[in-house]
Amino acid sequence: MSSSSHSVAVITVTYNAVNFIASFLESLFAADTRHLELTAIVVDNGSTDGTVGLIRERFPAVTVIQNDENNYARALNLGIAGSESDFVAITNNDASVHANWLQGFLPVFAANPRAGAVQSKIFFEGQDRLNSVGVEEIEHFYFKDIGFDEKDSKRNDKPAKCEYITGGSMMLRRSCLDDVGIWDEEFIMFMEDVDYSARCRAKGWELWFAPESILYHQYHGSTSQELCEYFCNRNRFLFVAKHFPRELAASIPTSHFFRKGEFDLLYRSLLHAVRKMAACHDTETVEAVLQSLGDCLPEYIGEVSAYSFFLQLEVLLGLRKIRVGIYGDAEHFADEEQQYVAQMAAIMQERYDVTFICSSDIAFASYKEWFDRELPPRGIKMIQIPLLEECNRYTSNEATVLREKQNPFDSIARASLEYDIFVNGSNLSQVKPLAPNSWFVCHFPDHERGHYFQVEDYDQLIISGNDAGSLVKKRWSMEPTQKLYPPVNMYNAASSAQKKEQIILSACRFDMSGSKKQIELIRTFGQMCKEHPEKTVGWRLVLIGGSIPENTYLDEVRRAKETVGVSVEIMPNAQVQDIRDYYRRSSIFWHACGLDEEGPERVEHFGMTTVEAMQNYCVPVVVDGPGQREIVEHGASGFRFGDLEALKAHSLTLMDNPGIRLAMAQKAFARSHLFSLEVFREQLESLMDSTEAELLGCDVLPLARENLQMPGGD
Amino acid sequence: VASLNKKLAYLRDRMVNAWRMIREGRFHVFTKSIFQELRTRREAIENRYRGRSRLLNSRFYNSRKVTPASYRPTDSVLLSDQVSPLDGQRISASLLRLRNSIKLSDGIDG
Repeated sequence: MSSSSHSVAVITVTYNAVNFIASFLESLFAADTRHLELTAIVVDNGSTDGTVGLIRERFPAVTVIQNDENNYARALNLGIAGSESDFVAITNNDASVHANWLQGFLPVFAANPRAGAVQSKIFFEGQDRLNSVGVEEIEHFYFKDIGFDEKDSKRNDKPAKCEYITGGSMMLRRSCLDDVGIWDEEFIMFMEDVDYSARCRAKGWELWFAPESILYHQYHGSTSQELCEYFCNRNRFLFVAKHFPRELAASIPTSHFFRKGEFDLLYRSLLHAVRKMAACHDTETVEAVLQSLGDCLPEYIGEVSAYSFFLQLEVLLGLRKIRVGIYGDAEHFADEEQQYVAQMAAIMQERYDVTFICSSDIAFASYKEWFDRELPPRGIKMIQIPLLEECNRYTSNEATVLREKQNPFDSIARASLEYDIFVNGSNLSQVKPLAPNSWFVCHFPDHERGHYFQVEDYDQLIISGNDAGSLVKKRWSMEPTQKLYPPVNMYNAASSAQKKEQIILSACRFDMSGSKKQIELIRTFGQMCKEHPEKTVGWRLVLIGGSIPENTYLDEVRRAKETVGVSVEIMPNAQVQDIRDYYRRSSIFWHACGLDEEGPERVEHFGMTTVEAMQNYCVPVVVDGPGQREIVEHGASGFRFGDLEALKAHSLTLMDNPGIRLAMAQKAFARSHLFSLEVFREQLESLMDSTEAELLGCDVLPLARENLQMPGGD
Repeated sequence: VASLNKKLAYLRDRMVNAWRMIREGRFHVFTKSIFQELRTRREAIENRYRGRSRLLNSRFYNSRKVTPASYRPTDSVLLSDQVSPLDGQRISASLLRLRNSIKLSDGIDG
């Protein structure tokens, strides 16, 4: 073989390798290539440091292939697919090769016709100590480089057959590559060479060590120790699941994740492993391995996590759709928070099986009427909370459970175990999530951290606006993970800035506490009519909003109307079509919720109705509160007021100047898109995508989240 | 007795390993293995006092039930080129049965 000519492709994978790729390629092109037709291929994993530019400029003979993801094994496959040579050499590039590196492989191939792959003798760069002369299993499926950190000795001077070899510097015969197939991309990096070694041997190929082929390696020059440890341990499970599936359960207690108590990484790695096993083995083997995991996992990682593990496997193995449980404690009346959760449920049910978990009667039939949305038909799960029943409250209040010896929401926590995604839309911070993935939707943190506080256990803390976000930081010392503005969808094709009537609209619940300030609005309108009859002639005030039965505040509002004696209409619990029509017809929108209130509980945290008005070219004149400040730009898309005098002044400006009103109506309409259903859908779907990726075992790796970079090689 | 047997089995594994390394003249690896074992023991003691795991009810974490696996992997199951598709119904039933077998009575620590 040595006398005839052969073609060799040298493949190396780069990721931000600008500091060492040049010296590597220089050493490669300086190597002895007699009787060899050399092709150099660099597969780049998305370097951002100019690696590709440097190679193209200084080494035009090198073929550069750009990988679309940062995956070492995939990069190898791309490189191999881009070559047609008799032999393929794979090597790290934080290295330099000896002049005899390529020639040194060939005698071993020539002497051993079944040699499928041959490894070099690898030294540490600048030292006389060995990095590797082969790879061996030590015990419990841990592998190490033979000769690692040892001085070279005579026993390494002869070619030797190996069980495993390293991808740090190896040459493969084309016929072996064709026979064994592509490298397993699920390994991403580390142990992909051990896996390939096992597959080569399984196909009857031999693996050899070639002492005459020498490479000098920087060793971990491009990989963090943390990332290396993570992938080595994760991939150990993949390897076992693939080649020794019945040893999978036994390999858990000897894993580093287990010994170090890193159970979240252990859990995640085992999910990957079982999926790999299911892809490689028959039903009987998979069943047997699952049973062995069932025998030990509850003890190793706890009953709850073991339960979640087997639940999540159903999704991971494609056996069913993702199940979502949404908990709401007050779905029996119409309010912004309920609308928020209803829209969320409606969007999620397009992909998933959604179930509502409720503690009180749910008014599904009314949702279409209230919010113009169909709610999930699939399921309602009623779980009554005895404590809330005893309190006989219309809505639950966290303060009532603080004195309890046992968390009254444990039944909800237990129910959450049956879902892949648990969404707590109740704003109750004591509900513990036990689903594999959980979201806490926070419209407003009602209380400080207290007994049974569970929000830290959620994967996502979603806030509905900046006010909720700042209060979450202040009261809970937590950082929200997502901001999802409430979805507002009150667009009406018939609305226009020009076709408006002389109507001032207020759309707000007639809250028993009086925090919505309808009485103050009536009085203010009365004063305006008396003080400026010429400007207010023909104008009327319309108050619409939800109300509970026997609402004493509503009675007071009606009495205020009679007292003032101006044109005021009061419409409690109006039909959605009537509300739409009023938005279309009204010129000005008033909102005074939280005016002169001090406690954050009595302030509007967002204000969906303001956006609804803006979507219908209705100019908002709103209280200068936290939620409204986020929506209305004062003097551009509406006005904000600090007291009732300012409300009067701004309103009169609009009533007396149609031009200003028209311009503001256009800007208000444009501004409203930020809070539209479309934007909500887009952001929610993005969150669903990332959650789904985690549930399905795609590599949204814990370490990747911490911005640790995946290098091109080890 | 079972616990003692496990400890003896573990000790036996270590001794087999040590003898193998000495026999092959790999004194460097032998020394490193001793230090590795000492480090593992120290970590085990530290973990005992570090508090609870992030996951619920890990009895391992509380009671330190470490069960070493066998010294070497045993029966290799070689990959076949043609893997028959999984019987989804059977696997679903297995997973459901496994979930139902887990006792969650004290599994929720709200």
